[in-house]
Amino acid sequence: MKREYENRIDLLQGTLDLLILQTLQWGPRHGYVISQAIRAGSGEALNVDTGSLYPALHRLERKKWIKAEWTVSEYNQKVKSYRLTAAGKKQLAAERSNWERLTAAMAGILNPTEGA
Amino acid sequence: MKFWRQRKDEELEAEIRNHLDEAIRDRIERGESPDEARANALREFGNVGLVKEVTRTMWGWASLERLGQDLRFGLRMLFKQPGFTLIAVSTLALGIGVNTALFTGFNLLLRPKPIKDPETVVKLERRGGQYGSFSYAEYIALRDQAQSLSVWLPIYGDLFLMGETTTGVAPEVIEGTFVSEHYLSALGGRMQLGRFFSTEENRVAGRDAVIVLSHSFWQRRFAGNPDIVGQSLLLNGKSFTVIGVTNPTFIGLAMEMPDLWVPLMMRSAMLSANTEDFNGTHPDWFGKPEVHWLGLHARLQPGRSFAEAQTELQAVISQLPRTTKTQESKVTIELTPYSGQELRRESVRNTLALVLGASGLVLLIACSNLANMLLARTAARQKELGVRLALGASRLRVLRQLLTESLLLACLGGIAGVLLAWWSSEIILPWGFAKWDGRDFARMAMNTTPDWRVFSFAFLLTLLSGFAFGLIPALRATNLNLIAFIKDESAAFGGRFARSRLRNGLVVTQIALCLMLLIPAGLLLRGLSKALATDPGYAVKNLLVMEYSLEQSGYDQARAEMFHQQLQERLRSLPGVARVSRLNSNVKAATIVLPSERGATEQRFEPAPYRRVTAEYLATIGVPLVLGRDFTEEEARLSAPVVIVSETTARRLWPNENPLGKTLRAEQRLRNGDLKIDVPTAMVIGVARDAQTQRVGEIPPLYFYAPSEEKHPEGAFLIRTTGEPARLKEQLVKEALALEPVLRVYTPYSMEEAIARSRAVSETRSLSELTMGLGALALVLAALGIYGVLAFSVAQRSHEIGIRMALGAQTSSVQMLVVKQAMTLVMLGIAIGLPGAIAVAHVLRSLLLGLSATDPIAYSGVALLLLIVALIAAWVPARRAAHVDPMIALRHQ
Repeated sequence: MKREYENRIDLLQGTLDLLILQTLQWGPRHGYVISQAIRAGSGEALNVDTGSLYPALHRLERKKWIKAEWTVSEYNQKVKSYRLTAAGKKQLAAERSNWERLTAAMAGILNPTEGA
Repeated sequence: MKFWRQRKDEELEAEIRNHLDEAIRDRIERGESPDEARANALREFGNVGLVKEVTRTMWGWASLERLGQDLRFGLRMLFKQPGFTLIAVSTLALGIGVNTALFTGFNLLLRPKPIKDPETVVKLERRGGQYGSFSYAEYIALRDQAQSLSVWLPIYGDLFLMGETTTGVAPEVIEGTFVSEHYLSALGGRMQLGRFFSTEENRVAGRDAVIVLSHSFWQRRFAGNPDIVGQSLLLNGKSFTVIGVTNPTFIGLAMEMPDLWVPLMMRSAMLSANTEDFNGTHPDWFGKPEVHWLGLHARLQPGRSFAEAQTELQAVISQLPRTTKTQESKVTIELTPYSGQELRRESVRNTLALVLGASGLVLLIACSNLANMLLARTAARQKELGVRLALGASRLRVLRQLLTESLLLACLGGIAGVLLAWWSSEIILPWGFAKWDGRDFARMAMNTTPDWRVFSFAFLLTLLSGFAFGLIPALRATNLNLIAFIKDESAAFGGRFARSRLRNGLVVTQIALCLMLLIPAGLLLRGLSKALATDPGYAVKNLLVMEYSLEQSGYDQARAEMFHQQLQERLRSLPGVARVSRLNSNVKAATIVLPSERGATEQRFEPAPYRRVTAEYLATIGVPLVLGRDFTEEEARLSAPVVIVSETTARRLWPNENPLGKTLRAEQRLRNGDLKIDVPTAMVIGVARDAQTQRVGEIPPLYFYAPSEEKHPEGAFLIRTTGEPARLKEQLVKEALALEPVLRVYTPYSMEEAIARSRAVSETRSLSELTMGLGALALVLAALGIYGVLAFSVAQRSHEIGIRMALGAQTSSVQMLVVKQAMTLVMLGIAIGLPGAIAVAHVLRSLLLGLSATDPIAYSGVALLLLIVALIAAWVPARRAAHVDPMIALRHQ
C-alpha cells in the first residue's frame, strides 16, 4: 500500500495554483475530479493532498480567479464545480510563462552543455 | 455574518462529502469491497476536521471569527472559575488602579489650563538684569511697541488685610491679585454675579476702589451670599466696593485662584511699602522705572513665531533708557509657553518619574502574581491543552487562545482599576496636593474626571500587563511533550519541574521588586525619625515664633521701632513667657575671608550662611556657647564688628588654635560685579554649639552669627515659654492687636510645627508615606505570591511528603521543608533586589535628611520584615504539608 506513493513527487510551493487553473481550462470541474485529473495527467507522479487542494480552491475563489457553482453531477448529486473566470485565464497565462522561464532556467543550470 | 458562515460551513461539508462519495464510488468500480473502499478513501483523504479548519482560514474573515470564538471561550473559562477570576481581577485592579490614580494626579498638570486658547499664551521673564519682574514703564513700552504679541496681561499678587480695623475682631490676611480690565475676557472667564471692572475703572491711579471676588473666597468667607455685589469691604483700612464674583472655573493664570481681583491702577492706593523703601515714603508704582513689580503674560499674534517675538521684545527692551540708579549690565527677556510650565520644572519631572516608577513596581509585582496563578491554572488545564494540540490545533492557535484569555482578564482588571482610580482620586488628590504642595484643592478648580490621557494610560497598562502576565504561562503551556501527555499525565515530570522553577523565579522577582520599594520606604522613614529625634543643637521644645507686618499700618521707621519694642515688653511680661527675642528670619550668605596674618596670604572659603541676631537670640533659641561670651545689647544696637562662630566653623577655620580673638570678614560678589562687604573685619568673641537651625538634619559646614538690631516693617519674635506653648498662641496675637489694630499678624507657630512644615521634612514625609503605602501593597501581593507557590508545591509534592512521612519523618521536619523553601526564595530575592534597592536609595540621597543611603538598620529591618512576612505566608502551606496523610498521598498516584 505504502509503495504506491513512493514515486510521487511533493508539489512545489505555488505550483498547485497553476495546476488547478490549468485543469479548469477545459471546463468546470469539482474538487474530486480536479485531484484525479492532476494525478492522471501527471502519470500518477503527482499526488494532490486534499489538505492543500480545498484551501487552494477556496483561496483562488476568493481571489476571483475561479468561480464556484452548484451543479448536478452525472450521478444526480449536487456538486460544487469551479469555473475559470476571465481574470483566472489571465492569471493562468502569467503563471504559465513564469513556470516556463523557471524550467528553462533550471534546465540551463542542470544541463549546462545543452545551454551552450 | 452568522448566516453566511453557517451556509459556507454546510457547503464545505457537502463539498467534502461529495469528494469522499466519488472516491468511494471510483474504488468500488475498481473492484474494492464497499467497506474497504470507504476505509481507503477516508485514509487517502486525511484528517477531515483539519482540512475543514485550514480551508476555513481561506475565507478571509476567519481571524475575526476566531477572535470571537476565543473571547467566548475565554469568558466561559473565567466564569467557570469565579474564585480565580475574582482574585486575578482584584489583584490587577489594585495594580492598574494605583498607577492610574497617581497618573490622574499628574495629568492635572498635563491637562490644558481652563482658559481660552492656552497654547497661544506666553510668559515673559526679565533675565540677566537685577530684577525679575518688569516696571510699569517697561510694560507700557513692550505693550505699545511689540507687534508680535497682543492682549497683554500684567499681573501682581499681594496680601491684604481684610476686615474691621477698630473693633477687637482679628483681621484676616487674604490674597489679592492686581490685574488689568481685560484679564477675565481675555482668558475666557465668566462671571457668577455682577461684572468685571471696566477700562474706565482701571485708568486713573488709586481712584476706583472696586474689587471682584473669586468663587472660592465668596463661598468660604461669605457662604455664597447672593447680595454681596454692592457691599463694601475694608482692605488695608480702605473701603472697596464688591462689583462681582467670578465663575467657579475661573482661576486666572496662577495655579490656584486668589481671594479677589483688584484693578492694576489701585496698586498705589494700597499703602503697601516695599521693605527697601521703608521710610514712610511710598514708591511711585506707575512712574519710576526702577520700581519693578509686574509679572507679564501676553498672547502670540497669529502667524508670529516664538523666535520673532523674542527678537522683537529684545529690541524694545534694550532701547529703553537705563536710569542711573539701576546699573544693569544687559537685560534679556525670556519667553516661555504658558502651557506645560509645570512639566518643564525638573523637580516635577523627577517626582513624576519617582512616583510612577514606584507604582509601576507594584503593577509588576501584581503581574508576576498573576503569571504565577496562570501557571498553576494552566498546569491544571494541561490535559485539555494537550488534547487540543494532539487533535491538530496549531501551537499558535492555542497560544492565541490563552493570550486572549489573559487579555480578557487584563481588560476586566483594567476596567475595575479605572473605576477604583476614579473613585479614589476624588479623595486622594485633594489630600495629596495639600500634603505635597500645601495647595488648597478647592481653589485650583481642578477637574479630576479622567480624560482621554488617563484612559489611554490605563488602556496601555492593561495591554502591557495582559501580555506581561499571560505570555510566559501561555508559551510554557503550549510547549508540551505531547506523547508524554497522551500516555500519562504524571510522566511529564520534567516539564513540571521546569515549571516549578519558573514559578519560584517569579516569586524571587517579586521579592526583589518589593525590596526596591521597601528599602527606600524604610530609609525615608528612618531618616525622618532620626532627624526628628536627634538633638538639633538648640532647645526645640517650648519655643514659639510670631510673625507680623506693619506694612499696612502706615508707620514710619521710628514709629515701627517703637512698636517692636513695646510689643517685646508686653510679651515678656506675659505669664508663661521666659524670654523674647526679635528674630530676623532672613538668613544671608557671604564668603568668609580670613585676613592675611604674619605674612600669609588671605584665605577665602565657600559662601557660608550667617544670621544677624539680637543680644537675646542665642539664649532664647537655646544654643549654648562653648567658648567666649554672647553679644551685648550695645553691640547689637551698633552692629559692632564682632562675630560668634559655630563649633564646626571654628575647627575648620582655625584648627588646633584658640578661635577667640581671631578675625574674619564676609563679603559677596554682586551680580553686576561689585563687591559688597557684608561683615567688615570682625573679631570672634564666642563659639556656639552646632545647631540645625538652617535645614532639618543638617549642620552647615560654615555658619556664624553677627550682631544687629532689626530695622524692618516685618517683625518676628522668638518666644521661649516655660510650659506648653500652644495655649499661649492666642494670647500673643491679642497683645499685638491691642497695640495696633491694623496689623497683619500671622498665627504663631511652635518650632516643632515649623520643622514638620519645613520643605525638607514634609517632602521626605510625603514621599515616605507614599512609598510605604505602595510598599505595603507590594508586600501583600508578594506574600500572596509566596503563599501560592508554596501551596502549589506542597500539593505537588504530597506524594513525596507522604513517602517521607511513611518512612518516619516528623511533622516538624516536613514543616521545615516548606519553611526552608520560603526562606530560600526570600533570601534569593533579597540578594537579587539589593543592587536595585541600593541604586534607588542613592537617587533618594538628598531626601534622607542626613541619613546614609546604606543605613544598615533600614536594610536589615526591611530584610527581617520580608522574612517574617514570608514565614507567615508559609504558615498555612506548612501546616497542610504536616497534615498530609501518607496513605492517601501514596494511593493517589
